[in-house]
Amino acid sequence: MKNTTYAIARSMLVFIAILPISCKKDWLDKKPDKSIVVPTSLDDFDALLANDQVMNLNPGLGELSADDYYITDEIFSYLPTATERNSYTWNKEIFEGETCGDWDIAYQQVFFCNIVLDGLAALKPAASEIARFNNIKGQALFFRAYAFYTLAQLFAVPYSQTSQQEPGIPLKLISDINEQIKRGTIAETYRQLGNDLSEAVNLLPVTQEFKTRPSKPAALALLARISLENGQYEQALDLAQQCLDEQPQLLNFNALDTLDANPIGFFNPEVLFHSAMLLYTALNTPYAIIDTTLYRAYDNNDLRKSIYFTGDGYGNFVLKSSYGGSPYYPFTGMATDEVYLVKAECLARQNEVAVAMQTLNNLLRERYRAGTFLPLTAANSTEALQMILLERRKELVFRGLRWNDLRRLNTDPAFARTIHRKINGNDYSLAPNSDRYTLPIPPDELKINNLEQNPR
Amino acid sequence: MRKLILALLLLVTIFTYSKAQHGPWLIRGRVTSADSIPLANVTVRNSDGTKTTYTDNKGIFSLLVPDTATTLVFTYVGYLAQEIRLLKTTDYYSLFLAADDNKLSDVRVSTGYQGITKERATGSFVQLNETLINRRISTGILDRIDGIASGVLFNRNSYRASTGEYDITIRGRSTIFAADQPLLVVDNFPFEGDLSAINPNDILSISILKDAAAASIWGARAGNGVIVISTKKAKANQPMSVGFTANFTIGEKPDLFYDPAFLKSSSFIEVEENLFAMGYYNAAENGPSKPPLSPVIELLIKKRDGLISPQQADEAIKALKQYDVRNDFENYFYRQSINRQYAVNLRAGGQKSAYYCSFGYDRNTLNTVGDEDERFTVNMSASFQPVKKLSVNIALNLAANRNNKNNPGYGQVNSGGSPAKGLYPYARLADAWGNPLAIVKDYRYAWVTAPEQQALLDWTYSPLTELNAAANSAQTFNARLDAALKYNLIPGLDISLLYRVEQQMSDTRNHYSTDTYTARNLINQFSQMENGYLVRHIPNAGILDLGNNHMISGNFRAQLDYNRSWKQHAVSAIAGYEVREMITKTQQNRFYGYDDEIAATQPVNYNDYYTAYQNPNSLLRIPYTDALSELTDRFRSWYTNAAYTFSNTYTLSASARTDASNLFGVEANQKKQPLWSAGFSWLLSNNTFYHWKALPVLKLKLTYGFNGNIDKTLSAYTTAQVVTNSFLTGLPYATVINPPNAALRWEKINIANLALEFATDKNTISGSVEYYKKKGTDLIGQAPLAPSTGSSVFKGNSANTSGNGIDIVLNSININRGFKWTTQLLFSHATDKVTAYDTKAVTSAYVANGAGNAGLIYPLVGKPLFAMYSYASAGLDPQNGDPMGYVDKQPSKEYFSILFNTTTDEMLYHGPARPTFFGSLRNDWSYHNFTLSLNITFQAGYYFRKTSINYGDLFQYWRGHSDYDKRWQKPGDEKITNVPSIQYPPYNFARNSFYNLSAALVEKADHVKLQDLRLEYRFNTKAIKRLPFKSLNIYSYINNIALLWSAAGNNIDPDYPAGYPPPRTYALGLQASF
Repeated sequence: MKNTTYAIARSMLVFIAILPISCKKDWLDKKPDKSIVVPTSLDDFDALLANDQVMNLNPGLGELSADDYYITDEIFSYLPTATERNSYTWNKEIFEGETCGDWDIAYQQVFFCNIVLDGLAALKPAASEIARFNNIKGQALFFRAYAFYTLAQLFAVPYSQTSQQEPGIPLKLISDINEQIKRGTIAETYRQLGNDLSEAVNLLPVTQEFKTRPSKPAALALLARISLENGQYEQALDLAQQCLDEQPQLLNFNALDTLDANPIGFFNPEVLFHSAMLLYTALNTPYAIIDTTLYRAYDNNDLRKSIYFTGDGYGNFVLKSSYGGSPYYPFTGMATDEVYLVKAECLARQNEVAVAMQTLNNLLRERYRAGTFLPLTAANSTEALQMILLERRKELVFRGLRWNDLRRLNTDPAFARTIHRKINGNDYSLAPNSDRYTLPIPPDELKINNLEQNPR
Repeated sequence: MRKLILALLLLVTIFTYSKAQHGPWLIRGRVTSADSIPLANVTVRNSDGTKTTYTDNKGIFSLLVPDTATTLVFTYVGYLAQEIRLLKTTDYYSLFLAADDNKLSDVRVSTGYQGITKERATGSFVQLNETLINRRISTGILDRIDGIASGVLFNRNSYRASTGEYDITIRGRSTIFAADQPLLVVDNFPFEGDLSAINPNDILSISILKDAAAASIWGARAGNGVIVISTKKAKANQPMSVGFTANFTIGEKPDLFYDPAFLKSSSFIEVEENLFAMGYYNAAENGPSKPPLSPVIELLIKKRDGLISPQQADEAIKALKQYDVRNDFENYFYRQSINRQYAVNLRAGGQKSAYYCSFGYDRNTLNTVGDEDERFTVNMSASFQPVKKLSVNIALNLAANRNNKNNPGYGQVNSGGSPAKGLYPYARLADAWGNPLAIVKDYRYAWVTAPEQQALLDWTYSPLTELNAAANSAQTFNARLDAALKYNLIPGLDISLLYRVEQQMSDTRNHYSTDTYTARNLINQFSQMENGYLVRHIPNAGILDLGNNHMISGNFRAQLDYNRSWKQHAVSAIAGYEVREMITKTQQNRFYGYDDEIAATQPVNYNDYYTAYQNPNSLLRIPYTDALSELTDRFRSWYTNAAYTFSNTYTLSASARTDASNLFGVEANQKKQPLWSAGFSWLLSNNTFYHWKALPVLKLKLTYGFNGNIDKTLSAYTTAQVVTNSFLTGLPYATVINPPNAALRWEKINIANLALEFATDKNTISGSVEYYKKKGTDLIGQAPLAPSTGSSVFKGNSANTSGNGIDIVLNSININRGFKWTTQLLFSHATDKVTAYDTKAVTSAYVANGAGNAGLIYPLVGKPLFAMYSYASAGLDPQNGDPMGYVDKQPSKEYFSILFNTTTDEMLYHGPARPTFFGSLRNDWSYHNFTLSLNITFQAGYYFRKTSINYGDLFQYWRGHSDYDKRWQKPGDEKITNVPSIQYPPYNFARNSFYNLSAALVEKADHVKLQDLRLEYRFNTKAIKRLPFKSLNIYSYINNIALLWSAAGNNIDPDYPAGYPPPRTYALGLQASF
């Protein structure tokens, strides 16, 4: 009771003291909720980029449309959205009025990054803060570029010399929600990606506290990936090498417990940047059954066979746990294994067969049961390239890269292939370089922002 | 009050000479109250109504009357009307008017800023006096309004109501997403503390402000109407008196057998046996997460594996069929409730000072075993008049509240797992001797009790042990300190300064000892065998959750009051400035390894992932529940309200208020757009041309204006909110919740009100009819954005609604002799409609959640905000009992197509999901010292959805429903039932969803209830002189008596399609004053 009386007396005094203050102009500027942030400081920007529920998620419709897996008729009938059913069968119409999570999450990332970049532009960091300022700016540039890149792989035609003037994706570069952006061109899209990532490389540190934040090697790896996909092999090789110079580490799969339900775990040593795929029912274990031919392509001594996959109890094989450590969310980040494969492919394409195969073997040695690995050899660059591309598919399975690889490799008649699906007795196929390799712009975007639609 | 004189005293100075009179005659005189205070503005009228005047501030009047005049009539609000016969011997009269005891407390309506006499009010009010407030016996104050206030609806079938909170709408809903409850004002200032801090025994009157003229003085917070509660206060010139109240209430046990969502054991087991035969449980049996299996399935497994003989299994199953878990719940989890309430008050007043103080004590033993409430309230108020023109009022209110909440309640005791199971109907909570029995919980019972798990803490779950071990309590302390100064500057003009500080501290404490399953389960999950040793990552000790919520608010108001009347004119005006700040801080902490004996705790590692003991595929972090929050509301307002009355017949009123707040943002604050109202009232019957004898009182009122409303979840500046904590990094992060919205402003509710008040001769029939129209503009709604902007929706001032309705109050005095019979009918009609809303959801969202019972809101233009939709039903397929709907107007079983392709135009709209007609019929009878009062309530014009069987839920979640026994089983059944045939796996979930959302389950919710009854006996204290009572009443009160009629059949109360209706309560009480 005494305490209460004291508390009341004190609060009364405090409030009387507030009275004259309450007449001040800024009295009403008080934040109504302390947990609300008006992002203005480096801490605020850092906290926005720390939002891994937004920043570290990537589209999944590409993987959903790719040929590394299939689902049964029964599972197909359970797919909850038209988007999933139509994407799986490469239908002309995809969204049927539904919103598109892939499009939304990528542009949400762009929005967050633009808030950060707009805010940084208005900030003059103290000398002691410059490193942190640069780090945050580099991250925002990376995240935005990665979002644009994932969008371009789904909603714009593949990059080529002839597609430069085709519509790109809307490049939203400021946070103002009243500004609506049109599509621009493929050339503009990739120029923006290149510029943002190059700047990020110069700003980012070699390592970050958490792998959910992009580092310099991660930015180099992404640039290398884009260069490879765009056919700029020399540049890709250079970038891959720069990346591996900073971070060459590989994980020996012999150290993993193949019986473990989740053998690889989060943030494995190869991971340069952690990110995961949006959840789609069709891609869930145990619905997504791994393509039989692909599964058989793994040698029995190849530890990936038992680390990546598990039986579903009906004689099929399904993904056990992702490379990123989550049983549900496939990994879509950057890792050194991919960089080695980029390097090997570029070398093979430049006729450096021996070095290319050596690079590939260095990776595979870490994947095979100890003492069982016989180094692969190739007679010529074509053979080398074939081996490297197969190993690329096997190593990077369910990493969101297969769709991109199909898109780029289809332009080369040697690797072009028609992919097939069978559902309820109906056959579906997707021919190389088909218009259906580019998804339509989602309807809710078109309704408000009058963009040019992709032909399908 | 008893000291007030009840008879007319007419003092006539008689001069002993008479005067010859010719022509007009000037009568003069002076009118005062019984305690000699001059009464201003008393209407003085010639008996034939041809001449009228008013007394001035000194109570003096003069009136020129023709020499034929014989009588003068004096009328004044709150006083008994008086007639005097004119004597030829004098032309000066001095008289007292006696206060009308019954009416005095009725007629001053408090708006929280001023008291308005009902005669001069233009706005729409409901005024409840002490007698009406005390008619019902309850612990909470708002219960006392239920069923007796016109236009005020207590929603029972809403989401808010289902969470145990009051859900009150005044004249229909006025908002979509913003605050939807009326503003509660206790003595001048908004009250935002815990409602239980208000003891109903301290309440003098309640006024409810319904239209713009009444409520807009509350500006941006008036949108949902305002409830103004006035507490009892010190009064001058009163001898000391003591009042005492004691109430004792017993409530019946709730009827758990009411809810149809229960499948009897024999039927449930029948389904389990069939599923088992199909191998439905094979996956779960071998599942890595050890999902729970019911005892019958375990028996069937043992039988299959030859671990027990078929006869043993069959006998055990046969035995289980006999049990009904509801009996155990009734026996061990529920009881009769007992509420005790005591209140004492003391008051006295001298010439220059007065005081009032009261003490209240409530102790409620709830009908859920283990749950109790206790409340102690102290109120003290004092008033002084240190110098002539200055009055000072000080009041201190304290309330301490303590409650124990240990009983999860029937329905919350379940078998867990993922997906979460319900409880199998043959579960047993205790054996024949009352010893607690374990039920299956979260994991397979066989696994939990296996020898391999011996190193762990006991992993079984007995609901009864859990109930006994639970230690969950909360304490709240609320203190309000009021100080008010009033100074009379010049005659008629007062300045007052009002100040209140309110502080509320509430603490919750939930101790999970290792006797509780909650603690044991968590400790076991985070246990691991490492190198043959058991390692516990959560210490083997209790878990303690502590929470606190501190609220402090400060209010200051400076106000000028001007009240003046001269001749036929009367002006009453106020203007003021107000600031208000409310800060709410909350804190939540969890301590692991807590030892209650020595109050010690132990640290845990929140950062690392651990493999769950029961499931090697599951990586978990130790739950981290600590949280802090701090909210600040600040308001700065200017307001004014003025009324001018001419000749006691015409009144014009106007009010305006501007609010600035830290919630709105700079732009809205700078615009200073006032919320305003204007009103007009005309007492027709006061006009000289009015001669309708049958209706001696007739008054017309017309008001128009704007009330505001706010959505605290939005802020003009809001861009990001910090969220804890990332699964991947364990760190807090920020998320953008709404793009900045500089244009954010309060919602505006425009109300026009037209009212007619009337009374027949001798008030035999009196009442009012009011019609209103409402228009909500700038309502917070969601508007679509191009997703490439980073947000696909934007919450802002983009929606509109409209509504209208009628409130009718009819009072009649049916018999008025020794036996008195009066009736009050309250009838209200309220509709609402969304008129502008930019986003549209998918059809299934409207059908499943359009009624708003799950807390989601899906507005659809042209329909009420809460509306009942369904998929049209084409009955059952006579071949196999499949439910049928429509696709392209043809009967169809394409359930996916029905669910996902039906357009919003094709779905069925039944009607509103909230009552659109409601009210009550109250009859009061009195004879000698007995009074009997009976209230019948009704609600109509809305729809509800009955629950039914969902076979998928039955298989997966063990959620049964008695409709299973009414299902289609053979051709021909489709004529007698709506319930589809059972479809065993692989089943089509859309078939189940369709049936549960089809028109077959939607019913009219119209119903009539015999709400309550009160019988009172008033002792004739004069007859028992030896006792010291000034008054003594005893009474009994029965509440929730019966459902008299329901359109959906009397076995279901439409307000409670699930759960159980509030049990009947019986109360006895005593009220005495000394």
